Amino acid sequence: MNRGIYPPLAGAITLERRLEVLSHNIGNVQTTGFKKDSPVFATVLGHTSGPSVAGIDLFPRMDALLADRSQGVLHRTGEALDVALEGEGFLVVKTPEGLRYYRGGKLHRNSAGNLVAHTGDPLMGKKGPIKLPVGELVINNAGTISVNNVVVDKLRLDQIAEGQQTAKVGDLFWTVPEQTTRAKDTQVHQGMLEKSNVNPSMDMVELIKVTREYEQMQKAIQAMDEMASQAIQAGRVQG
Amino acid sequence: MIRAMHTASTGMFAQQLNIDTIANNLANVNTTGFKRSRAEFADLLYQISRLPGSSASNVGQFPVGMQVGLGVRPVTVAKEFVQGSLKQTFSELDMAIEGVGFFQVSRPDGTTMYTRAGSLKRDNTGNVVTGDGDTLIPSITIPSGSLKIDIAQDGTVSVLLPGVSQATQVGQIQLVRFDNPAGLIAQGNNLFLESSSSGPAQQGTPGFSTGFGLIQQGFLEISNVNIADEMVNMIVAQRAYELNAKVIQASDDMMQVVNTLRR
Repeated sequence: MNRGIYPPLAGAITLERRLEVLSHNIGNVQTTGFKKDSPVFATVLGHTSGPSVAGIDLFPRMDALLADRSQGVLHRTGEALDVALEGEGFLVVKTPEGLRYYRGGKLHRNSAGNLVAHTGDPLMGKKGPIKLPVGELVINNAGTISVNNVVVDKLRLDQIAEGQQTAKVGDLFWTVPEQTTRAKDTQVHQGMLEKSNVNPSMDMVELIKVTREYEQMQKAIQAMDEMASQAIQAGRVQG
Repeated sequence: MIRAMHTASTGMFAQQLNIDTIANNLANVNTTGFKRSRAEFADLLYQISRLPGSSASNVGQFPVGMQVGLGVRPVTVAKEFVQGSLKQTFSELDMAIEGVGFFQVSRPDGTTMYTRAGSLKRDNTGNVVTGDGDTLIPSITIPSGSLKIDIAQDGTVSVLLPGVSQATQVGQIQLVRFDNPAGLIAQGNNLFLESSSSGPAQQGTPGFSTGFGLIQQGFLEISNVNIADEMVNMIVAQRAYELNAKVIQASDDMMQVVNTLRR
């Protein structure tokens, strides 16, 4: 049959996946500490039917989604419980499902005195979940927490080593890889928040591209259909 | 395709809430003791098509996975209890708290609430009350005929009575503080109610070293809303809203393309 119609169809489906990723990124353009996803594409060999070598179809496919962990812009809020990280590090949060990495820096103090993430799960320090006495809170660039000039604890900062796997699980949480590595060269900034690293202008361009490329796939499918139609017409004339 | 539309609509919803929050902040730019709110967001769950580290057929493990995110959700609209600037009013019963404390007031129905709006008045019996008529806890009564009211930074209230050369102490203002003021429930009318997440109110005397803050007589704490900040936030929120709307339009255009596949 008209096999040429399938590669542009696969292309169109891939573009739909791209749009989904794009819309997730754009939805999170204002989410503190959000890291955008970027899709990776691969070409796969279609089914080669029969002995014909010429019958190889190449299909595009979205192969993976990579989180782009580049730094987001820092902006000042002046809130003592806001922290922004500069560098590759992550804060570590203890959730009921286990430890999670966290980059959203809007922290809170719960009624039990724990330093918690927006979900109410405590942040980990050097000695386990961090507890804050009442008083003036100062967090220095290394992550050392002092209250009324007395050192209380130090934020645990991990980084994802080369080759270690993590996955985003929503709520700004990331799974902790099998091997954990303490972060090097990560600075903590108190009174600041890290903005989402989504770049709206780049996404706008991407959005236009996706829409136009989708139209191109449509044209390709229509051209294939046209050819099939003409073949059928030709057959009719001969018959 | 439909997924992208729904994802973008979560983005529009989030930005709408953001604008709502900014609008309330701006509306209260002149409200004594008002504390601004900020909307915070988090990414929604991910639809996992392939886990990172799952095994590929014969080439080992996939180094990265494929998890398509489903958008954004608002997580908190929390008050930011940053100190507001003080404005001098010269009114004897205007008080501003410089520090973390709150005044305690008793509502007509008997509930205790907390406020930082220190624009206090005297009622017909001389009791010190808020603009809404809620009495201060512990209650303070100004004797009739008092010539001058003097409130010290540590909260002691003294009055000068006619014919008496020395000031007479008539009460002591007590403040309360909370472990987590962001957990207080805003009740409107500048009032807050304690909740399980704010922790119980801890009462104490104002002062330099008590950690409750100082009382400044003749001043009011103005709202901590910063207009320039809010304007910038509004522009950003509006643009983000537009951007999400564009994604919906793009999804719609692409569906249109599908519909015209067959001529």
